[in-house]
Amino acid sequence: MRPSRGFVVLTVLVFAGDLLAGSLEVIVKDDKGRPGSDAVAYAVAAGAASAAPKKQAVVDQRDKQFVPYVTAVQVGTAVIFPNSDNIRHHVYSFSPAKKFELPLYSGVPAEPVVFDKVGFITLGCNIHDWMIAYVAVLPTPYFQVTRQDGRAVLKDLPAGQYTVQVWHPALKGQPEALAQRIDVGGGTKSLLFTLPLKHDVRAKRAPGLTTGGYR
Amino acid sequence: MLLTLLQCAIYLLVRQANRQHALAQIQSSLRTGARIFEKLIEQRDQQITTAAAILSRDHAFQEAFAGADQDRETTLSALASLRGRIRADAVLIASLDKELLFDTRRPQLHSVPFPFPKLIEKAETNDATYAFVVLDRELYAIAVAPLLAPDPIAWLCPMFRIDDDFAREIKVYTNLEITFLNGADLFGTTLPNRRAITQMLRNRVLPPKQVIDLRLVREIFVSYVVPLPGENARPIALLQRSLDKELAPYFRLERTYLGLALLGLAVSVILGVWIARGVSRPVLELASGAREIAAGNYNHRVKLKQEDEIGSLAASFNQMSAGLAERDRVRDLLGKVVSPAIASELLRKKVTLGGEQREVTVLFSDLRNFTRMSEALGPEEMLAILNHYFTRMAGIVEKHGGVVDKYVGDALMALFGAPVASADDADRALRAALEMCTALDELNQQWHRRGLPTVGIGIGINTGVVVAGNMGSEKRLNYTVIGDGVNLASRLEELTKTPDYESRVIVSGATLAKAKEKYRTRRLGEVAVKGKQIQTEIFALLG
Repeated sequence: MRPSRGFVVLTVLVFAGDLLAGSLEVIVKDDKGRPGSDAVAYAVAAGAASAAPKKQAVVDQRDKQFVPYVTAVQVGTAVIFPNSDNIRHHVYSFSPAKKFELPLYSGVPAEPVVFDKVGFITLGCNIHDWMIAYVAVLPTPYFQVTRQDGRAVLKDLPAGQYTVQVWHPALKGQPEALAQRIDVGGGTKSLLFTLPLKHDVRAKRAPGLTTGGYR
Repeated sequence: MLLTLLQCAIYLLVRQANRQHALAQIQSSLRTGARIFEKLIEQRDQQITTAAAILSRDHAFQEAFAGADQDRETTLSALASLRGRIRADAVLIASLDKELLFDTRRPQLHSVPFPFPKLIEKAETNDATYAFVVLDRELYAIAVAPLLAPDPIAWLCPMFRIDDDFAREIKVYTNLEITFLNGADLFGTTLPNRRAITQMLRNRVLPPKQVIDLRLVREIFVSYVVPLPGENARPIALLQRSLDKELAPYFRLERTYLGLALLGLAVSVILGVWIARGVSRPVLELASGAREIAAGNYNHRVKLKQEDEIGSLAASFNQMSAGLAERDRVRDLLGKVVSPAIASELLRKKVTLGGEQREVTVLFSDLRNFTRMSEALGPEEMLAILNHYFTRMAGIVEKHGGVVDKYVGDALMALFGAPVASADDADRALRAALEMCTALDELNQQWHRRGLPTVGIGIGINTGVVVAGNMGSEKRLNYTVIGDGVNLASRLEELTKTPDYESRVIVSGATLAKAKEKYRTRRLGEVAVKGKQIQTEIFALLG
């Protein structure tokens, strides 16, 4: 389901009744026209001070997988990593924006992890190679992760100038390279992004006994 | 025939040589493939042993397995993660006292004796070890490495299933058919017919590391057995090449050669028959032509229109037939123009000018009153009567062995003693003269009845030495006789006109002297022959 090439991000500005606020619809496609899910679309207001972050976000572990695969949070958000499996997991990050480790544990950890630096964090499980997840720590409260159809909607944006960017786990290069400016006001606007993607080299979950063999 | 034998011999030799070469080739490639196979297995051994050693030092797993809060599920899931890293089909963990702790294939199974204790005993002396084992009716390659923390705390055993997929993968490198077996149990093969293999191997011990022939259904495989290091079994790898498939190009070559040989044979047979027909048919025709000629049918012609030697032979043959027919015609005509005796004498001898001296009895005859008779007749009727007369007279002359030398008007000259002499030539001439007279009487009676005038005859006969031979020019010549003897005969004939003699036949004394029989004669006296000094006695022949 994850796109393997580039995405095209189409941003449509939709106005609400209130002249001071608008909604932005983001459509992500790759260069072959396929919609891309799990992309983070976010709009950073020019000059304006950000609102206070939400209290908490959750990255769950179910059936030896992180859920959700991609999480977007405003900088300063505390994220909690409950373990819903009946086995232990060992969550860790070596990403510069947040290095942390939750050694083998079960249930809900006592303390959440506060992501206090903007950046993109990759999560892993030390004993399950295939477990992987991402946390996008953003300098703005206006963000959304694209759905299966490759669309995301940013709602209730106050009127003003925004820099709109898109990030994806397989994005080749930095999201700034694809940044687009847009004025959010009374009119309808749209933006289109094309995302080049890296080849996927991550560990796969081991196949069952029925397949494979001596190789 | 010789060509056929030669071709057969060449075919068989080539076939033999080809097959021996092919067999040697197959055996050689089988041994090469076997060496590659052994090398590959050795490499795999090192690879999975190394992999096991690396996995056994994985800290995250060590912590899951031997950390503060141990639980089976976490360890099993971490073990599955390790399995994924090296793509093993299963990973087992055995305790130091050879008890099975974990088995990714059967998560519930634990605290039972480890199935391959000897392997662990071996591993205790080495860092890691490797073997082929049978577990739950499947063949695995297994490596054993100590799980170090940092002292050994358990044995980590990744296992790799040996199945059809593995056999196919090895086949890519070795280009051999590969079958993994333990006794008659088959675990993996590149061959389609598993049942045939197991049936073939029932009650059969395969000698290791030898090239042997094995028959599977209808196909013969050149085979080679590589024993694999086992623990609880004696697994082998059966490496094979299909003899039939390997020989296929040789068989194709053989078939092509056979086809060419047969084609060549057919062509030579057809060509031979064609040539034989071309030769034998005209030869048979010529033979039948020759038989026709032998039977006297000179008009037979060989109908062959060929441009070759046979054709020219046929043409010559036809020319010969034509020549024979011509000769026959000439001989026939010659017999009519000259007397048959002269004709055959002419044909027998080379016809040249010149003659020989012979004693000949010459007979001259002439008609009396014929001039008067001819006046009463038309020219055609006269000729008819004359021919009738001559035919009769000539018949009498020939009957008595004489030869009609020539006809001069109504006169006839006959020879007795030339060209062929006989003892009674004089007698023959005399008898002929008498018969001629009798014959004329008969003719006269016929003519008289038809109202024609009758004629008389005068005959003169003399015997003397004359010159006989061909006379005339080179191109046209006659066989005749000349000499005084001839002239005398002619003179005697004329004397019959003398009324005093009253004789139709006058014979010289010489002829009567030669005659052996007695005749009634009357002496007429002596006459001086014209131009002759001597007198000749003459007689009238009466009977």
